[in-house]
Amino acid sequence: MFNLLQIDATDSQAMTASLNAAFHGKPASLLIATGNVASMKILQELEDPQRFSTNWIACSSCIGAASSFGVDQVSDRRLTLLVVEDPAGSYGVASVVQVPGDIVQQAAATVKAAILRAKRPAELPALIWCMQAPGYEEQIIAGIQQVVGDQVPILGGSAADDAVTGEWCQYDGQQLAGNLLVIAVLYPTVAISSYFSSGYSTEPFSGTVTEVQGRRITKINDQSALEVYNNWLQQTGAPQQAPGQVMSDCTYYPLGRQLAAKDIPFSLLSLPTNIHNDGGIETLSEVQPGDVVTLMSGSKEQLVRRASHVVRVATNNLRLRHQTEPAAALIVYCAGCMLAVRAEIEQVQRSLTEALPGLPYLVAFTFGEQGCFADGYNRHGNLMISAVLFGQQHQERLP
Amino acid sequence: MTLPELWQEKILQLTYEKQQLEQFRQLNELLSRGLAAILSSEQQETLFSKLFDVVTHVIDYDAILILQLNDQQTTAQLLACLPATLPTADLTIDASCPLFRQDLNLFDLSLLDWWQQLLPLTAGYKSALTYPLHTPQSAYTMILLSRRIGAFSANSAVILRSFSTFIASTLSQLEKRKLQDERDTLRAQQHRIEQSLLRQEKMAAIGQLAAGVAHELNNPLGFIYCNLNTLKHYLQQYDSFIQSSVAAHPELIPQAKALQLDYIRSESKDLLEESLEGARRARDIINNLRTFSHPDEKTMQEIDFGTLLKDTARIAQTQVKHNAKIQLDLPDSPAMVCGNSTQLSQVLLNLLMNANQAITNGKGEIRLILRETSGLWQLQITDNGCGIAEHVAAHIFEPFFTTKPVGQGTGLGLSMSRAIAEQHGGSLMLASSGSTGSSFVLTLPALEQC
Repeated sequence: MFNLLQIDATDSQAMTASLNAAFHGKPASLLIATGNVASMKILQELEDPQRFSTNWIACSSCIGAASSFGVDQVSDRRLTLLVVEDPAGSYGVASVVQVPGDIVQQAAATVKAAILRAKRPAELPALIWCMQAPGYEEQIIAGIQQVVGDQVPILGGSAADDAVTGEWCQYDGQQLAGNLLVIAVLYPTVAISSYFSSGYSTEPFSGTVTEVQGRRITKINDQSALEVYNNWLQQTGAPQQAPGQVMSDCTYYPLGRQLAAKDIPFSLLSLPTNIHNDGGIETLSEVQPGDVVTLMSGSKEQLVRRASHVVRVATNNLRLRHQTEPAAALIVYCAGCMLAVRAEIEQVQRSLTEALPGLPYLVAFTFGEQGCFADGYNRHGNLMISAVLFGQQHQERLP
Repeated sequence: MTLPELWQEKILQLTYEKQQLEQFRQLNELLSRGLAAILSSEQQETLFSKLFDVVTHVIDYDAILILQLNDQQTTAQLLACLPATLPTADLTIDASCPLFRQDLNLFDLSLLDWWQQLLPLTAGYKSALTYPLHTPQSAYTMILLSRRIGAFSANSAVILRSFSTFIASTLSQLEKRKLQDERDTLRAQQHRIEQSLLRQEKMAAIGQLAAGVAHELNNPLGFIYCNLNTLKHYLQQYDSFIQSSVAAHPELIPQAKALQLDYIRSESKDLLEESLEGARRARDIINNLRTFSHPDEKTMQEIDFGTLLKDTARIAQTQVKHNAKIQLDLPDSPAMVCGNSTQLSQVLLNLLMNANQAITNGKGEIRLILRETSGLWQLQITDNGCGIAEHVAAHIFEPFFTTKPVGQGTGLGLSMSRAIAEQHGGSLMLASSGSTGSSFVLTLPALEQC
């Protein structure tokens, strides 16, 4: 039911040949694909992609994808596809070009369209999987929940490029663009479980956000956000930051908003990406005035260990709730975290293979992660890792 | 990661796993409470009410209902619901309706045309969780409704799925109980039929005996009656002779006085008249017995319904007289109908006996009023007995329905009476009943309508 494919993305001819060889004219129920920007761009030259599946959902991954096959290098030209063949299940994909200011309504309309394409009108999907351009993840969750309520897990990630230059792209089986919202609704015949987590520690420094402009925090405790942030960094012995692109430098010191899941406090992370000359800190997720932010700290060891830990928790959930073992996995790993442990990323991949022995899994490195927390709420965070595990099909009992 | 952070993360993970275990706990709680509900419920309505209450403890919903599919699978009826204000009209089921085939977690009912058409009774509810239930006898579906969009989680669906198996088993048990009840009813009916056959055989034997006795008595009674009339004639001659002799010979007067001949003459006349009256009454009783003891007599003939009423009342009088008075209010002219006197007499006797049994204080009055209205003879039989309870009144004309203990009543009296009335082109109905008594109306076409 689940297959992992690696297809040649050197050019469209090579890609078509790879796909033809893999599919033999039998379209899949759903294709989830990722790879680096250069490889993804070949998709727009692919002729008649619908013959492979009417439901494509893909986005670019920072540097490339990781999977049970291995880890892509920046120079690799290939895409990795998780192929779902589930004729008894239902799947639907819809997309829209994101228009700032109208995202909530767009997300609502798009999820409705995806559900209609799945031919399951009004029926709650088991999972909603999103791939979008970074910037509006919270509004996308709000729009989807406006339609289906808050009882369905929404997971996914925002497309990434290699150097935060805005070259990221998404693909829906018809068009490739840098500002698409692609939503897939899944009604599989197998059980699904998911887990969403970060692996950072809180430092004893916190303050209240007092001024924001979009995703830019300008004031903390009525002082310049940069001054406050640098003050906290100084006290922990970390290097201070200056205006400019800071994403990789700040990966081990993000800001965290303190939340509570079933009375257990946990942190939703916001990763600084740019610092402006006015002292405003741009992050990859929304922070509201009044939010209490805390300096968080992480380590290479934690980030390396984290992915397999998340998979193991999701596996336990699958066993507990559905009495089944995993058959395949979809993993979203924050691109910021990946860049911070780039030298050890093979180690991350090996740990995932150990956690999912012999099973197909696909990892996308993204600039924003959506997931469902332990308290049952869907949220967007940075520096997060999520895993969706598909259970095994129950064997038909022999007569 | 610091040690506290590791602990926090571990706790978070355990919390997540605890939620899964919580699901099992909730299910166990559902089953345990459900079992308690079943054990403590006598009536189906109470049982469902309790089961619905049990579901409230683990799934947040605003309304719940169970639909039952009919045998033809074309309509469904509301078996139970909470709140009880939902309309109860039958629902037309389209072949494409998935409610009885698959479980559904519906986040927005307004998107489904078929739902709006099928279940307008759920207007105002936004989302639904449904689960089909199948038992050996029937198909059902359980529906939970919420006023919120997308109110039911996958977890709720899993719990409902597990609990639905339990509900299906409960429904199956109810069906079994219903079948057992039907079996018991059939057995009771069979018993009554057997009792009825025995009674009929006994009645037939008694009828034959009565006919034989009546025939045998008729001959001696004939010559008693005949001789008494002859004797009366002879006595008149004696009397005439004595009177003329005393008038011609006054010397006989003292002797006549000494013998109290005047008293003897007068007394003999009375004695003879009384004997004749007794013989007449004996003849009438024998005639009535002969009429009543010919159950195979099916011929329709012209009958004076008033006379039949008087005769039947006279027969009934022997049983009624210590308990009630029968008052007849009959028209002056004959009430002619076309009918079978045996059968009609059976109807009247049955109504009179029922009226008598309704009177328990020994001060009863049974009033029979016969009037002609628009070509119909209408007999109203009113008693001042205990009346018929409302829930009993709905069934009194059903065959084998009786309030008497098994063996003491066949439950056929009123149903047969109504059937006989209808065979005669008439009707029999309960006109009124209350704590002061009951009133039945028997209608028969007047002879012109026969």
